[in-house]
Amino acid sequence: MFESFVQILTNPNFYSNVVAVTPPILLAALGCAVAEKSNSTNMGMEGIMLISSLTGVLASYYIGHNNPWLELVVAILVGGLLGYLVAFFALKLRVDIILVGIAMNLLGSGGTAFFMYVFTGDRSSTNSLQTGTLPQINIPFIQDIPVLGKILSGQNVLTYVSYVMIFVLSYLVFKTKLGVRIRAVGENANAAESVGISSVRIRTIALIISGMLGGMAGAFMSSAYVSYFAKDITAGRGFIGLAACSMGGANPVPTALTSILFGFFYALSNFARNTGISDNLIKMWPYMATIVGVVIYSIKKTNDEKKRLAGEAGEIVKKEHRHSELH
Amino acid sequence: MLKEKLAALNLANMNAQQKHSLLRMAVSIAIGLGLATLLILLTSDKPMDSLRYYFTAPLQNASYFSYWVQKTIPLIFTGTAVCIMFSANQFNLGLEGSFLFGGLVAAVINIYITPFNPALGIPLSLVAGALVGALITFIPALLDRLFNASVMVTSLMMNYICLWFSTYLLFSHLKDPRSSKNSYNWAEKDPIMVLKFGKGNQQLTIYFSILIALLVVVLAWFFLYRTKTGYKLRTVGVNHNFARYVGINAVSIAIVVQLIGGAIGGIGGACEIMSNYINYSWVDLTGFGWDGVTIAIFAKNNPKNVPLAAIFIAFLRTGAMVMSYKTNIQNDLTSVIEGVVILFLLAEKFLSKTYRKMIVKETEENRRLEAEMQKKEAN
Repeated sequence: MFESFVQILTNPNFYSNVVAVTPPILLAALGCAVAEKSNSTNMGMEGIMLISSLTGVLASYYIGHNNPWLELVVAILVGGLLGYLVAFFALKLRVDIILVGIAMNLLGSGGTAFFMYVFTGDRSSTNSLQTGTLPQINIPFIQDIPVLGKILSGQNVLTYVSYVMIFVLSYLVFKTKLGVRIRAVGENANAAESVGISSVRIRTIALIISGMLGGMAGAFMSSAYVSYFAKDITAGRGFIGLAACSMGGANPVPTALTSILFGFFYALSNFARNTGISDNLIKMWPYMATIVGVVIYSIKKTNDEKKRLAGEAGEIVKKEHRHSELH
Repeated sequence: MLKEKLAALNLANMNAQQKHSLLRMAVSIAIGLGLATLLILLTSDKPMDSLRYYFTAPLQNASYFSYWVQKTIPLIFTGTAVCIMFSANQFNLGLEGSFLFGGLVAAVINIYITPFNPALGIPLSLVAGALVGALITFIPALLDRLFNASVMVTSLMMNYICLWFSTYLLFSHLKDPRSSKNSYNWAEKDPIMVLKFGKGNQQLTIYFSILIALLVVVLAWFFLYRTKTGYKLRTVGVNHNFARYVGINAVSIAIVVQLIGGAIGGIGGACEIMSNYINYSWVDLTGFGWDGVTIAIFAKNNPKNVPLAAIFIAFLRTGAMVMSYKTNIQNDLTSVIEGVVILFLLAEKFLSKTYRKMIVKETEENRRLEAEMQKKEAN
């Protein structure tokens, strides 16, 4: 059993698989993270992914001559629209945002199954509407490096885009005016309002960006992972994204690393056949890892908070001490 | 005198609030059903047949009626469980896992511990289901208590751990070698918690688990609205800080409600497996845990309203099932309707202008009455 694990872990194809299965989780997690930064939990990520994936496929088939690029663009736009819908119901009509998410998931799972049947007459997948996949890309130079080339090169173009999104999101959240506002609203909406930032507006924008990333994740399922849409094709990846975001403290880079960890376990369950351990057991590991990760993150957060408060208290004591010395 | 008047005014305001709440419920459901009708009309080849099945199927024959009851029972269990947890504002979403494991443990007991002995197997399974179900929601609650880890995330993860662990148990240990997908049987022909009469379309099934479900509803209502702990936990739900300041132990309340919720979910799973199956074959989350959230929203977190909400949703689902079987419509339509109704039902700002008008009208009415009374008194 031990040897078979060593065999998997020394197999470049395994790592190539890790790189290939991570993107939908990564995109969903980054989407949840940007919303979470503005203090909106995007519980509806799963539903957003499903709806944008199906609309992408339908648009590509009916108006785009099976063009997967059109599928991607439509999915991103629909995702953004759904993000706006979450914001509208949660912020304008004041529905609890978690329950909006749950409603979105109901609409996503039921609505996609319903309309898939309306358009294709098929109850399980749109196998009859093959809309093709986005191209795979060989990276010059890197593809010639012995092991690394096999792992990093020859992946789907959307895979590369999704890893680039880590840096885009980091830049957006930490280096732009919008990012500062998103964080300000997330940390203290009243303080942000007092300096003239509309928290509803900023949270709406964050949710739209979150939805667009969800749309991209949905498009990945139906234009990179496979070339069609199937019932519940996302299989809980939206929820896993939510968990990865929580474990990464909603910061883009840690969130991305957590997503890759998930990808690692996903790939491991794909390769587990000859380890002697049931792949069903290995499928449990990423979820267990999340629980452990969330616990570790929470302990760290609580300790940091304690230290910060202790530090502040220390400062106050020092100040008072100085004050009394002066008098 | 003044006191009485104030009380009267207060009551009047309450009425406006209640009326508005009813109105909002009615309008939301009307929007949902209107949307369903529209979608059916637009997409069905035989729209009139489809509509007839969707809205009347459960009343057409004994078999559909039995199916309606069958679909109602698990919704009552998980709906009640979510009511209790949401009343204390605990967003534990681990009920899927509790329900699944409740079913799993009932199957194991009926196959291995009390084989072909329902008189022992049923009570034992219910108790074991409750314990296992409670364990599943207790783990996230404990992690929250110890480390402040988000209950929502850890409970979601518990669901998938339960799913893959039960799938592993099924395929690696419980599976009947003669079958590709199910365990050994624990009954000859009919599930052990039902009685069947008649044949074909006229087959009526009596579900004993509905008695357990209704008992759970009554106990939950009594617990929430007639006991001290229930009052405390609703206070925690309304205002966590206030509850803490008046000396309620919010942490232990949070753990207690999650234990109770999980236990109810586990009993629900055990009842589901013993009422509808003679062997174990679950390889997917049942969805009843999520449905519990929908039901609790419809019932406004009060167990008293759960049976009605469950009957309503199950009615639509039965209709959708029959419609999809008889005409060319996908039965997932009902989830869409549920999602839409939830959104409008919960929207604080939806129909808020009407609410304002209603209050103004009430107040004016009260003033008019008061003025009349004063006139009479003066005379």
